[in-house]
Order: sequence, then C-alpha cells, then structure tokens
Amino acid sequence: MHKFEIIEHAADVGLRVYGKDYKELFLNAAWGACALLVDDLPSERDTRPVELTASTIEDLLVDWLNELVSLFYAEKFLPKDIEIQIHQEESSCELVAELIGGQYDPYTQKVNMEVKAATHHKLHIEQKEEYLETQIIFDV
Amino acid sequence: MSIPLEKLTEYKYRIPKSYKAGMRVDGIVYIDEKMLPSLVDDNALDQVAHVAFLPGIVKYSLAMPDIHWGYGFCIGGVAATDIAQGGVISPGGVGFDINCGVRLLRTDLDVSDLSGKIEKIVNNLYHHVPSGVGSKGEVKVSRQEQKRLMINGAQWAVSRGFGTPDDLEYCEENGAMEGADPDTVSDRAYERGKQQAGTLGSGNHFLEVQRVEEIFDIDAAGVLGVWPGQIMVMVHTGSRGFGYQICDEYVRLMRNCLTKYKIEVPDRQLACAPVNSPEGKQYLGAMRAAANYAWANRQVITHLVRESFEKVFSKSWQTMGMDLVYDVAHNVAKIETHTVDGEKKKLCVHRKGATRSFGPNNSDIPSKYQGIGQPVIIPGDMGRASYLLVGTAHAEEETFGTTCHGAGRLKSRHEALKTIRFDQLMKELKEKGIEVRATGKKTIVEEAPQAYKDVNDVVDIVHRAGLSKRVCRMKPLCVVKG
Repeated sequence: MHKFEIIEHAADVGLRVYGKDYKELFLNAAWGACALLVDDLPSERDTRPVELTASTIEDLLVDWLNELVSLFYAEKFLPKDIEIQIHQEESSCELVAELIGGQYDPYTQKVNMEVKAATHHKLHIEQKEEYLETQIIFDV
Repeated sequence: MSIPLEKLTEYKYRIPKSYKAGMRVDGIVYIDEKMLPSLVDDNALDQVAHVAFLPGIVKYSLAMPDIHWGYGFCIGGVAATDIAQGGVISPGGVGFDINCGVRLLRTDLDVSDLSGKIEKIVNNLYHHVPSGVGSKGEVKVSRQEQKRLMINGAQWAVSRGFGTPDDLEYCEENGAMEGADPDTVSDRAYERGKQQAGTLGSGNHFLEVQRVEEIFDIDAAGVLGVWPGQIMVMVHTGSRGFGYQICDEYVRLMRNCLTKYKIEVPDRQLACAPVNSPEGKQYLGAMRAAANYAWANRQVITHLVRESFEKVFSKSWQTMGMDLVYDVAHNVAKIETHTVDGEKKKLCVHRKGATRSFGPNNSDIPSKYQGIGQPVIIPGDMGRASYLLVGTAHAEEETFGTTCHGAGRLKSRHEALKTIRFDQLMKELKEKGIEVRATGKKTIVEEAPQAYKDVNDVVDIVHRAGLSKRVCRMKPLCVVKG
C-alpha cells in the first residue's frame, strides 16, 4: 500500500493518503505535506510538541497539516520523525504529537512550492475494506 | 443534479434558489455563452449556490465573469450580508491571501524611451524586488513596528520613507482600513509577517511594465493622465504568509461558530460567524490587520520599483512622473452602505477575486476621480493584456459596487505543465517583445497565457453589463514573476 500520492487538482495540488488506521493516515499525510514543501528533510536536532482538538476527524486532519505548514514558515522547522497519538470520541477528536526534526529556512533554502494552507474542500476520510483513504487539497 | 442556469440577459444568468434547499437567495452569474463551457466541469457554480446559504445574505450570491473554482466562495464571488439581521462574515469569502490586490503606476515615459533598455529594466526589477517562493524582505520590522504596520498599512510604509503621502490618496481606504486590531493576531502570524514585508511572493503575483495600447474613453483617460504608448507599471501581490496564517486560524475558530450560532452551510470552508458576534469582530480586526499589511507591502514594492527605474534612467522618479493611478483590493470583506429594496443598509460585502467598482460622485473615491468613477485595475495574463476601467453607478445598484478582478484561470497548473513547453512559451513571448524573469521555469509555465481565460472577453462582459467602463488596454513589455 502506498503511503501517499501527490495529485494535481484544478488550480491547486492535493494528496491522496492511505493508512491502516487514523494514526498511520495522519502520519502519512504529514509526510505528504512535507514532500510538497521540500525534497530533503533536515536531520533530527530539536523537538516540537503539538496538541490539537477538533470536533471531527476531518477537521483535525486539516488542522494537523496546517500546523506543519505554519511551523515551517513561522519557526523554520520541519520534522524528520513523528510520534503521534489520535483519540477519537463522539463529539471531539484529539491529536498529541511530538515532532522530531530540525531547521529548514524557507526564506533561503529551496522550497518546492508556496503552500498557503490545507483546505476542507471535499475532504472525507473513507473506510475502504482494509484501510483508510482520503484526499486533501492544498491552496498553493 | 445539473445546475439550472436561467439566461436573464446576454451577460447574466440565474441559479434559482429552488436549486438547493437552504439557499436563501438566487445566484447571479455574469457570463456569456462563449464562456459557459469552461464552467461545466468546475465546482464554481455550486459554490455560488453554497454561498447563498449564508445567514443574512441579501439580494443575490454573485459571481463575476472571471469565475472559477475556489475554496468556500468561488473566485469572482461576491456576497453581502445584512449586519442588523444577523448577517455573517466568512473568512472563506475573503480567501487566504487577504487583500491580494493590484496597483498601477503611471509614468511620463513613452515606449520609445525604453528602446534598448527593456532587459536592463526587467533585470533591475527582478534583483531589486524580492520575489519567489517564501521570499524574504529587506524591510526589518520589530514586533512594535509590526503593530504599527498593521494599523497604518501603506501610511506606515510612507512614514518609513517608502513613497510619499500623495500615494495614500490613491489607495482604496487610503491604504489603511480602520479597525485593524493587532491583539487579534497570533504570534505565528506575527512571525510569518515579520519575514515577508516588502516581498512580491510567487504564483500569480507579478510586476509588469506595460505600454498603453488603446484608449477607449478619452475623457476618463485624460483625468487619469493616460495616453497611447505611455509606460505603466503594475504590481500584483497581497499579504503573503501573514494573511494565510490569519485565514487558517479564523476558519478554525469559525468552524466552532457553526454549532454555536446554529448555522448550516454545505462546505466547512464557508465557516462563518455573525459580524456582530465576538468571533466576527475578532476576525474583522485580524483581517483588517492583514489587509493593511498588504497595502504596506505594495507601497514598499512601489518604492523599490521607482528606485529600479531611477537606476536605469538616471532620473528621479518624480521627474519621470511615476505617480500612483490607484490601488485596489480584490480579496477583502468591507462594511459598506448599499440600498436594498429601497432601503439603505449596512452590509458586510465579501469580495473574493472581485474588485470594488464605485461610480462617479461616490464620497469614498479620491476627489480627482469624482467625475469619472473609481479606477478599476484588471490584470490579464503575461502574454495578452491588462485593463484600466472605471467604476459605475450601475455597479453600485446591481453588484454592491463590484466588478471582476482578472482573467480567471482556465487550465490547472498541472495541465499547463503537461501541455505547454517552456522553450516554446519563452520563444512566443520573446516574439511578442515580452521579457520575462522568474525564480523558476515551472512558475512561468504554470502562469502561461494559455492557462488563463482571455481577459479581453472577461472585460468585455463587465463593460457591456455596465459593471465598469473600459478606459484603456495595456500590453506587457516585461514581467517579473515570483
């Protein structure tokens, strides 16, 4: 099974992401987002904790990817390794992660494209027979 | 279900509110038969219908002829909500690039003055104005300084020596919206903003040196100081990462407002809150801060453009008459008073990929333009043309004083990359006498003329529909892309 594929979408770009469970899906989506931004990830020197809550799992996925985009542009940080936990309850979902990575300066180093943000456009996490699949469109 | 599109006039189609349960008003799309096929496989018309769900929306959910698919609102989407009736504000009605906009500088230079200098000009602009993905500005701003920038917009830039007070008179909102609230802006946004003040960015943002090719309205052109063969400079950019961060954070906040205020919208990207709610006010404060950041940005770039010309021509920019014609925002929400059913109402007008187009005698436009209407600047693609128009009283009556914002994308970036060859494109542009500089080949191909609708067709519709009036057409001579 692929982890993710980059797909072209109308004016923008997207990711088709797969995972056996939410944890793997979120992890693969993160690697997909990093692949949109840069070719080579920095080595692990530093960590960043991330805690997010949202009312739906799809909202949580958008917030998670936007957190990575935002950390990249605001703190010049990209992860090389991620430890992640997802907790889903009836009316809320929670993500707790630790990003292990390093500095990558988007203002001086090579960046593949300027990603504005991940969007909610037609975002739906689908349960296939043996895995989860979703498609996320980014505004670029 | 296919979308019912009823032809009202040659340039105006209606999506009846019966199309989807939940639509509060009809959708109105300004388009002609020639352009209709480009919308068939697009979600844009559905997005016009979805915007009609917004609480408090009045008259219609509108789309301009440069309509194409966006997030939440389509690009070219316009909606006004009645604040007194619980009308909402939606970050999706403004977009990620808050106050993306265009400004036009005139010059006293004639096309003959540029003979043998075009390459020098484009190289100077390319090296002097920071551009490209994640480009970093030379303007250093402390946190305190950033707060002043957010409140004072282009005025801040002028106070730092980037331009003159005269420039401010010729900016929409005089280059600074009142009510920007730096306290509603997160540390992340501050951090992203700090890096990018005075940068052009990438994607469809650009700097262009153009020549006036044809005048359509001699009287208006006279007032605007425009003549055939004249050299003009166009700047297209917005609030960069600062605006993207604010939009993302407020979409997040307003998703929760959907439950809190019992609002039903068919797309999460249309998350919204009543304008008068704490969340609505907070977003307005942050959005205005980003709008002002964008005006400061375009003002700094104006200064860098003038410096580049000074270097090439060894004359001061004042001697070359490089004054600002006007600066318009085309991604913004504003509180304006318009007449609805014969009654004046305070509305929150969302323009996403749409330009304000106020007519003559409107107190919100500079005194110099009172007789002709507000200048409307419509950039086309890098190979065809751009337009200068003026606003109309008819637009004020029919579209909350709004017209189109550009050509509108026709081909996806991917399709452009698949079907257009870089070498061939550069050859074609060179043959047309257009010099292009960009940080990457990819951007040039993605932004190729073939990827866009023909701006002539788009402008033809708004002109004939009376939403703005053509003054002149300009052809590109050199282009700097991010």
